[in-house]
Amino acid sequence: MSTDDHRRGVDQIDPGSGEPVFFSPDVWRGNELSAAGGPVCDTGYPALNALLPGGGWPVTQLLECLTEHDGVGELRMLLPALARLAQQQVGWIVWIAPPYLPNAPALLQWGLAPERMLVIHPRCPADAAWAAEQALTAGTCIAVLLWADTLARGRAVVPAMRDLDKHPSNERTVSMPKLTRRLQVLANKHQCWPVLMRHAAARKQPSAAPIRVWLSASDQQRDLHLLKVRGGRPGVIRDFDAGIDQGAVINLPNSTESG
Amino acid sequence: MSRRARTLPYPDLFAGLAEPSTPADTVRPEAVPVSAPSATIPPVVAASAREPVWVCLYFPAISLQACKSQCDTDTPTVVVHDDAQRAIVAVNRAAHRQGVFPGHTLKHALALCAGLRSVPRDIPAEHQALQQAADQLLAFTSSVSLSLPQSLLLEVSGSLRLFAGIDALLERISTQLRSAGHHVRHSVAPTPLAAQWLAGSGLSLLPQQVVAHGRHLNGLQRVLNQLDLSVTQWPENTQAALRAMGVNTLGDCRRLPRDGLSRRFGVGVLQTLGQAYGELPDLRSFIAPPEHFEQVLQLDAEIDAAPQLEQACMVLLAQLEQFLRERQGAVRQLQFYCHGWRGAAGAFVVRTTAATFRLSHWQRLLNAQLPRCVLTQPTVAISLAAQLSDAMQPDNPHLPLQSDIDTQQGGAGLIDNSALHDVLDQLRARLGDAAVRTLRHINTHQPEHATGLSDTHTSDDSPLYDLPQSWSLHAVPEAQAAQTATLALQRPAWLLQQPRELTVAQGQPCFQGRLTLLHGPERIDSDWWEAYASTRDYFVAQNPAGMRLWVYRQHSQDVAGERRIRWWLHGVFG
Repeated sequence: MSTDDHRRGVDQIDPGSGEPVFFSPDVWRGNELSAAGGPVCDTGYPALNALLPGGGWPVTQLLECLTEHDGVGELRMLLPALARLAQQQVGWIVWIAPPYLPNAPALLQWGLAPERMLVIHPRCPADAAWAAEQALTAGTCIAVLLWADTLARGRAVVPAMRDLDKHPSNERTVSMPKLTRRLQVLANKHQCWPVLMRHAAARKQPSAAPIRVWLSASDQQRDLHLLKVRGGRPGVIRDFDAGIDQGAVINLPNSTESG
Repeated sequence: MSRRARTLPYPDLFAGLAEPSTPADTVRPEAVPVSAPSATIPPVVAASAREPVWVCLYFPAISLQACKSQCDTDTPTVVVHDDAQRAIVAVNRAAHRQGVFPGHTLKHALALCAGLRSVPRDIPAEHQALQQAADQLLAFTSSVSLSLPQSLLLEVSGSLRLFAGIDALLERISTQLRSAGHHVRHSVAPTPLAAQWLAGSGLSLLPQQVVAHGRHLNGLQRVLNQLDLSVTQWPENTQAALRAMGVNTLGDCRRLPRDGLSRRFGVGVLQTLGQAYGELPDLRSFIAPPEHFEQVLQLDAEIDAAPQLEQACMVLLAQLEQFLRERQGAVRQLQFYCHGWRGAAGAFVVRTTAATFRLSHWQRLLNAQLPRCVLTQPTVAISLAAQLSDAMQPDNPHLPLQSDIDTQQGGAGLIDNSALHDVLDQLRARLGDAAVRTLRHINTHQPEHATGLSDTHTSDDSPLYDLPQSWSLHAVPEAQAAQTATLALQRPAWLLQQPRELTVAQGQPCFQGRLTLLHGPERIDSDWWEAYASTRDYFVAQNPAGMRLWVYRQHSQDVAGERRIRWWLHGVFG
């Protein structure tokens, strides 16, 4: 390449990705600009990394994850990044009002130590919000995962919750815009990554979260819709977890019906 | 060595009375190690031959102090002994100004001062106040002896070097007691009785001289000889008989023939004198610091809302912290009881995961807990009880080990374990123990038993939850990682604590639609010794909504004896 090309910022097309390659230092691309904002964590999915401005989840921003049902791939999306964070930092990973109990053998398979999980079953949304704030400001938590709808739907199926019923129930609720705004402010201030799980119906409502992800799943495929991303462009990844399989699949002869 | 010197202060008395007494700085032959050349020993051996130094702290106003809650300083107040004579034991400043002195009868005092208030003497409270002062003084020496009714005896020869001399030590002791609100007279002497008598009288020896010469101090005999008989607290009739003989001071008493004195008044008189002058051993028992803390605080006003108790709780916690610093201990559990007029008004417990002695830590937990506490009636007193459970972990900043530094990557800092516990304690204080759990992996093949929820706080010493010994930066211990690598099985990230039975339509299990089986079966047997042994075939399945589920098939026999296949949902792949 000649020096003239450098001066004019002439592009080349990268043969792999089809994206233009800029050689000139005068040309700044928008997603690189926004990436300077804060630390990011590799998502573990190359296609998703490519969509996110810094090449990974920005871990000082609130991530909002919208799903129709629990268990359509939201943990599969998060666990590789959480495992990477846990390798880099010492501290708790806090699960507030999860719909089910995290399964220790599976966490080990993903590379997370179960001893570092803090599972919290609050009595009311106000307690959940309080716990989230405590965890975010404590300085000893890596990530805070908050299931906003579990309490409202009454689906927390942990026996310990029965003991909690004996206490005078507190019906105070927390408004969702206030919660998202507060989590986002705290995330900016402290080195802790908040993730808010909401029902997919909320995707039409505005939110203070800089990154919103909607997982839509059918029996055919699981699509990851990046609804909103600060400093990047929304996009869709078809079958985002197709390449990643948890553990190795046992290949037995398909004799399911004969048994 | 020093312990021996304390418990047996006059060893040379037993060595033989015919021998002249050993000078303080001579080398005692039995104290020298056989192998060591004696030339290298002197400073150590000098300590072993150390003379005891006794400090007596005399609390003239302890009876007034004990009923402090009923006294204010402006009203003339006297404390009256509760007997027929109603003799005055202590007076406050205002009463003193009116000419009322201890020893007057109440009638006499009322004649002098009309508006006099009299308070009955509370002896148990006095003893308690004295005991508390003694506990505080354990910070200066381990040899503190209670000498009722109103003195404490401290043997301080072992503390002189640490506190830079006797004068500095006395200064610190009086500062400490003054800050606790005590008025104290002190005196220093080579024997406990001499110290006590001197403190009661008002004469004194120079502390520096006492330290330098011990009981060979020239002035000791001279000063003791001047003391009046009343300091000895001998029986009244003994004192009266001696005074009738013209014997008024200890010096007079010493000049009497010993055999006659002992025949007439008993051996006790001679023994006391001998102990005071350092001729006979005087063994004292020292207080043993308590293993648990219990303190009651009377409130100035009735309190009917728990959050207003914070101030009172903080006073108690400050006392607890002081107690723990003296004992070099830490506690895990604090129990607060609120007392009302009609019995218990409420109780609450503050627990910490790791034992601590820090006030600030409890304060945060208390703030989280108090709003949740319900009082059944107005509270007039609050008490705090805590049991010593661990040794104090000092405030040292975390010193990283070399292995920690090796594993440290990038900017990740090391976090102290106590910091990790802080957030756990705080969450538990408000949400309750049952609502905040940690997980642990249990090495078993049965999926429902593989995940352990940490138990809540337990009172015994078993670990509260399985934290790894060291929080190294490797997320998964290597042994476990190796184990999981061989365990190449699909496990769901969510587990249902109770498997849920699935409906079956046309031989196919359904959960929000008919399930498609993707992988399986994987057979898992229950342990043979269990009552309900079962064999399960696990499958990975998917429903039309895209949820990936972990289901199992179980063969069972119904009441009619007919073989039936039932399907259960056990986990969800998140």
